[in-house]
Parts: sequence; structure tokens; C-alpha cells
Amino acid sequence: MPLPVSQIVEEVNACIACNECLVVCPALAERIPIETLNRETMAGPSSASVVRFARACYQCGACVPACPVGLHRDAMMLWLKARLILDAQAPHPVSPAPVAAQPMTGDRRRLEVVRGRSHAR
Amino acid sequence: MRDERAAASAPSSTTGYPLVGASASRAERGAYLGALVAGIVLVYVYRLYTQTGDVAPDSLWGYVFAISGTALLLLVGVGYSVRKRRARHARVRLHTMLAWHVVGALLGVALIFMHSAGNFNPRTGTYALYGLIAATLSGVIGRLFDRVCPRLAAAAAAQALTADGVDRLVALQQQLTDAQVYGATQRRVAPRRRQTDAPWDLAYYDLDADGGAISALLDQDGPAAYAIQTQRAMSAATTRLPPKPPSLQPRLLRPATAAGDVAGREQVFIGMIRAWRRLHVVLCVVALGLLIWHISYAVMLLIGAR
Repeated sequence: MPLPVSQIVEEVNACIACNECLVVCPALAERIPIETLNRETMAGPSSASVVRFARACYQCGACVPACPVGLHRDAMMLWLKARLILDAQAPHPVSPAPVAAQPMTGDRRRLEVVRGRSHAR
Repeated sequence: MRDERAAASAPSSTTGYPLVGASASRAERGAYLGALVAGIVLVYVYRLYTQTGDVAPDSLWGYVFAISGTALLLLVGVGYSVRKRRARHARVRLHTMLAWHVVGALLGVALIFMHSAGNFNPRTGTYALYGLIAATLSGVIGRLFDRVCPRLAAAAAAQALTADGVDRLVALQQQLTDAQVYGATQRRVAPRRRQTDAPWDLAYYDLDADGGAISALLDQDGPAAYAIQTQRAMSAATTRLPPKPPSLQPRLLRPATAAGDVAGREQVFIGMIRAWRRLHVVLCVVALGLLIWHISYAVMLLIGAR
């Protein structure tokens, strides 16, 4: 079964934005910030670059073992593709359940610290 | 940067997931253009080669084609694998490498064909060529799978999920539960409403009443009458067939069956993509083994000839 949107939202919120999934992706042809991809996966209209990426992704699963926190980017991409289809079928674009702003998790905070250090070098 | 700006300016619909008509990326277009130019050059060179009079796999041009074809195949095959495993430190995008991996494999096999020059008698060389063709064909078919299967998987996922992203089966189960709860509530509420209209005390009933009075009593909606009617209904129910399901059930049954049919189908399509990739890798390893066998055989012949 595809992951329901509630679980997709949980996974997106658990993402630490390390970008590893996009680095190993053979379908990604242009630079997309992972924050943009996460935001547009959850809700709202998708930008042209994210739509191109969703259409180019062929579910090879290379992103899954690369994720350091064990998330399923392939399932998130499948939801994004399903949204493209549902949006095309619906008279008005589908807007999924509203997503509450999540507090910064411990992992995310740790990543910010690591990034701060790497920028300082 | 220019690539990103060009990609951003390209017109693109932000809905739909069409099977055909989607544009190739800049890297892919570059690789295909390179392949076209190289293909034209190879055809021209092969025409010159056939006019030399020495058309054989062990001719000078035959060796040139063999060495350049093998080098190209190894470069794009091993290069892509290494790039995949050293993603963090690479400068070239993996997507670009994949485009050149496809194009390089096609050109490499074309060079090996030119090396064979229509001579398919030696066993090792012919088997190596068959191996290379099988590996390349599996790659081409794999790219077709990469195109078709994600779309079928997404279509199955779109059928399995509601527009709100909820699992359709779960949503239907929730609707059914809500309907059952509503029905049970109605059944509980209905007798109470009837009781409110009934006499509040059984002492008002005449115990010595005749048959007409009992009939009149049964026509009322009082608790005693209700109890008698319920008993009658229960005894009748034991001899009857099960009651017809409420009209809601068939209405939910059809979408539930449809959702059950597509449940898990997207995993089949995704599994096909990944299984085919493993098959491609296995065929590449087999082709590499056959190539090594052929090269060692050719080297032995060369050493023996000297």
C-alpha cells in the first residue's frame, strides 16, 4: 500500500535535510533545495522544477539506503506523483490535509550545528 | 547554473503525469546529440573501412574498433558504477553520468559490431558479442521500464488513495463504521421514543380484559405491546432468511472491491523496475566474463602467431 499522507507528513517532518537522497539520485537533473521538495511534497502547489523531478524519478530506490535517518523518499515521491495525477483529474487542484508547522527536532538542530561548523571552516 | 535557468524557463504543466511527451533534460539532450554525431562519424568511418580491402576482426582497423569499443564500454560501465558509489565527492551529476552511460554503451556495442565485420565464426568472440548485446538490450528495456512502470505505480497509488491522501480502504472502513454506529444509535433511540408515548404505568392495563381489549392494547405503542411485538418479530426472524443489507453496503462495496484490487499493485511495478536493474547488472557481469574469455583467447592466438 502507498503510505497515507499522514505518514508522509511524519516522514517529511523527520527529514534532517542532509540532502543525501538527492545527491545519490540518478533522476535529478537540476538543483532543487530539499526544503522546497519537502514543503511541496506535503502541501500547496508544486513548482515546475519539482514537477519535472517527480516526472523524472523512476522509483529506483537509491535514496532509501542513503538516508541517515531511515526515511522513505521513494514513498514521498510516489505520493507526489499520485498528487500530479489527482490534480489533473480534479476540477480544482487537490490540496492535502493542512500541515501544522513542526518544531525543530533534535536531529534538525544538530544538523544546523554541523552546518554552522562546516560554514565556519 | 545556466542549465537551471534554462530548465526553469521551459514551459511545463504542473499537473498530470503523461507517459509520452515529457521533455528530456539538458544532460540527456546533450548525450543524445553526442551519440548522433558519433553515430554519423562511425558510419562514415565504417564505409571507409570497407573500402580498404582488409576487412577482418584481426586487421588494423579491426583492432582499433575492438580496443576503442572495449575501452568505451568499460569507461561508461565501470565509471557509472564508481560514480554511484562515490556520490558525495563527485563533480559530475549522476543523472549526466547515466545519460552518457546509456549512449556510451550503444556506441561501444556499435564499435564491437564494426570489429566483428560480419564474421561470427569464432565462438568466443560471438558469445562475447551476444553477451554485450544482451546487456545493452536489457539496459534499453530497463530504461523503458523506468519510463512506464513509475507511471503505472503512481496511477495505482492514486487509485488506492483518496484526494486527501487517505488510504481509500481505510476511508471506506471509516464510512462503514460511521454508518453502523449511526444505525445502532437510531435503533437505540427508536424504542425510547416509542416508550415516551406509552402509558407510564402497567397498573393502568386491565388484566381481565377480553380479546378486543387486548387487540386494542397491541395496537398501541406501549411497552407491553412493544415486548409482545418484539417477541413475535424474533420468532419470525428464526424462520426467515437474513435481512437484506442496508442500501449503504452495496454503495461502499464497489469502491472497496476496486480499492482492494489496486492495493499493493504499485509495489509490483516498483518491484519490476528494481528486479530488472538486478538482471541488467547480472547480464553485464556475464558479458564482462565472456569479453575477458574472448580477449584472453585472442591474446593467446596473437602470441602463438608470433
